[in-house]
Amino acid sequence: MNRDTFSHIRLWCPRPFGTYSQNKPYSNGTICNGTAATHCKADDSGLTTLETHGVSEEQDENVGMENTPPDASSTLLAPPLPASPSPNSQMEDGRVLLDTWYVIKPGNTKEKIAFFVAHQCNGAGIPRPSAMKVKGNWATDCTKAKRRRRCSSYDPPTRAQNVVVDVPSESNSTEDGVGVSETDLLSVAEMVALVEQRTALALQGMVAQGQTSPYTVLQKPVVIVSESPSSAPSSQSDFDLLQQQQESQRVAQAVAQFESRQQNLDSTTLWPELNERDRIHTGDSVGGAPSHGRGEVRIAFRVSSLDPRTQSEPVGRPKCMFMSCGVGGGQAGTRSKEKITCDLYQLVSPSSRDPGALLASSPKADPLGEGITDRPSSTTPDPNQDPASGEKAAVARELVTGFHVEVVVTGAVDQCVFYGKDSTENVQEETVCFAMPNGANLTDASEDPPPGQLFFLQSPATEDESCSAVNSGIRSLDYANNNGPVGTTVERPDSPLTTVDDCSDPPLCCLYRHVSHDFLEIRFQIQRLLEPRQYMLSLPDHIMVNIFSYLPTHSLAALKCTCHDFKTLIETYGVRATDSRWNQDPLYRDDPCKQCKRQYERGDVSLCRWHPKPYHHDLPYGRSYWMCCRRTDKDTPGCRVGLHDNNWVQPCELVQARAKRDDGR
Amino acid sequence: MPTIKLQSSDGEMFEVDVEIAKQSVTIKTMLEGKWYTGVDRWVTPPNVSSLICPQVIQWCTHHKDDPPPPEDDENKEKRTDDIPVWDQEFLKVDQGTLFELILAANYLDIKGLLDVTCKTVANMIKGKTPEEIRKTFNIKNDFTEEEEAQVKQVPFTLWHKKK
Repeated sequence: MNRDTFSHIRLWCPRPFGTYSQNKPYSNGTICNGTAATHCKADDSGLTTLETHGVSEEQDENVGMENTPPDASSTLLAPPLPASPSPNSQMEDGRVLLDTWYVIKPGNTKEKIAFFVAHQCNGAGIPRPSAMKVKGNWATDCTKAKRRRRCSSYDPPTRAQNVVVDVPSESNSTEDGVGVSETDLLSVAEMVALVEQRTALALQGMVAQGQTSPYTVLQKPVVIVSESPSSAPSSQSDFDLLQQQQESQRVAQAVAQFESRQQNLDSTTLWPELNERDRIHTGDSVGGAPSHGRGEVRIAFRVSSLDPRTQSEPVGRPKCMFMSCGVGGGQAGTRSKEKITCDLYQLVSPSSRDPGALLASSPKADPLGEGITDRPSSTTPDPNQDPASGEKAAVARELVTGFHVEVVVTGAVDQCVFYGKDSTENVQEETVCFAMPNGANLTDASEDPPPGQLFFLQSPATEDESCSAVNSGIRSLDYANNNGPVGTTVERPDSPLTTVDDCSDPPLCCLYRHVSHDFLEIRFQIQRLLEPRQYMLSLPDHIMVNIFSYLPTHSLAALKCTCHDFKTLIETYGVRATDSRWNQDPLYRDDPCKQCKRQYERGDVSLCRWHPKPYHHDLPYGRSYWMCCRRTDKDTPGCRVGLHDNNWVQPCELVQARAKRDDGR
Repeated sequence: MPTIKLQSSDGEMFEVDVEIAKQSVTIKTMLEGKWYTGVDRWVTPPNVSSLICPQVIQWCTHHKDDPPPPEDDENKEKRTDDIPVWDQEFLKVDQGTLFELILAANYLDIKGLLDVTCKTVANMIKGKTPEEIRKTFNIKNDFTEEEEAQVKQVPFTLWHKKK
């Protein structure tokens, strides 16, 4: 290879394997293109080359700053560098100026070749102010001549103003086109820095002016992507470049999203006079609510999934409603004094599907109340609806008599007061007021509801004494606000809605007007299964009598004293004990007991008490007493206990046995 | 041997020999009836669950060689201490199962099984005071104080002492 084939290129090398510390900080408006330092290995021809680093393409952006030669006119000069091992290097202002030749490696033409191209000095040998390195990109059809021309026409100070472009759909791969958008890629850090700078400037200007929208100041983030459709990316390096470009796009998009969020957040603080109506949304899912600003309180209403009506709702029907208030002020801890009116009937009413019927009144100043107030009219449509919808409302009332609503309140709230008003029934307002969990106000929070009462509203202990004289919902609200109880409500005389006191989960407890019938039925069945069963009483009568017939008199007497059912069974069916001595022979059935002279009665399992000896009755002036037990009272129960026996005649076996005994004597 | 299927109340089918199944007077009557002449015959006793039916079959299988039980004699003293040992072990179950067996034996009219189960329950009642009986069988005392005083003629403690 002839030495004169290639132009003499002077390479700037701050230091072999140089680092950031050697580079001066660039201004914000200055953007340098990324260049990479690669090794330019010498070929076998013996040409002296500079062997530099081989840096991957992903580090091009970072390395660009590192390897960009400083401006000759800049006061910040690079520190002196050690001498290059090349014998042809020259030390100039601490930089190593290398005269070297570069060689294009043979092989695949798409292989990336990075080289340093120094701006040719002017004829006086003074380097151009805009001397910089331009990296060659294999993705573009960059020849040496093109790169030279590009370097000669490149002006770094003006580059920042020209880079505000979108992602180019077409590549500007013409020779005359400015190659910045094609070949230069902004580093992520540079883009973020630029965006932050612009955001800060915009905020400053916006605060100063007070009316300028940040969006007018902010511009889209810079995304510079180079595309070269002329050269088909078929190699790995082309693919890597595309990935890098896509990554830059993603970064830019992320930055844009961040700016938009920031702008929204700032708007809430800078523009408190936003109309409340703009804040009311109606979404299809609870999770679709956007994040709220500072001091804002949001309430989401959703028909409970336990309610069977939710399953029959049409698909396109909104299943939850969001209300928010308390945007103004921007001060943390400031309670909202706005009142929101909401018709929850929109959630379940099959007729009132008009979204315009949704009541979203403007916020009103509530002179009496503090905190967020809401009016869930769960049984009837809102009275502010059009009269034409009265019929629909009437139909809806017939279909819906109550439903479960789940309420989720987010935000800094001290107290929520819910009004339930049914204007068609002309009843007083129902008020459900509860305080947010607070260490000072929450009492009996650790007490679990008794079993079976989980889904029932708990009546507060102080309800009677505090709300007995209260008849209207407004007054109760006053009471609640003035006295600040934990939870006081007013109950209609016939209202199924009970009051709520200390409840571990106030929103759910407050709005449950009644539990479902299915739940009650299932709970009853479970209780029946869990409680001990009375198997004896469930048996048929003849089986019970069969069982009783195996029992002696004593056990039958105990069974008779157990319950009325056993007593009735024994007396009705005339259950006889196994050891009973009552003679059932029709000839002797009516014979009384020979011991106590008592007559047999059906089901008699009593025990016989008699005096085995007679009562001694002396002459009127003598003593009288029972000879067996010496008791004087004649009506004293018998001292002998046994079974009744009406067998006046001894059995034949006993007579024969006695006869034999007498004969034996 | 010919078999017959017993379908429990919850739909399970149990196959059993006809001779064993004929210990049940109900099944025997059904089999001898004119509508059970088909090859595939089954009986669906109500109130006999799939847990009780195999136990009934087990008892019948064990007592398939027993002589037919005698007719009930009112003069004959009824005793509860003549339960076989195998039956005593077989009936060592919870109250629910025991009473389910009673109901199954009652419907299927298996006298032997019904007698042993009733005797077992009677043995559970013997020697207990009214309060103990209530506790054993989960019975609620629905007597008033006056009624209870009238029903109780002799203190049971005195009766026990006398014995």
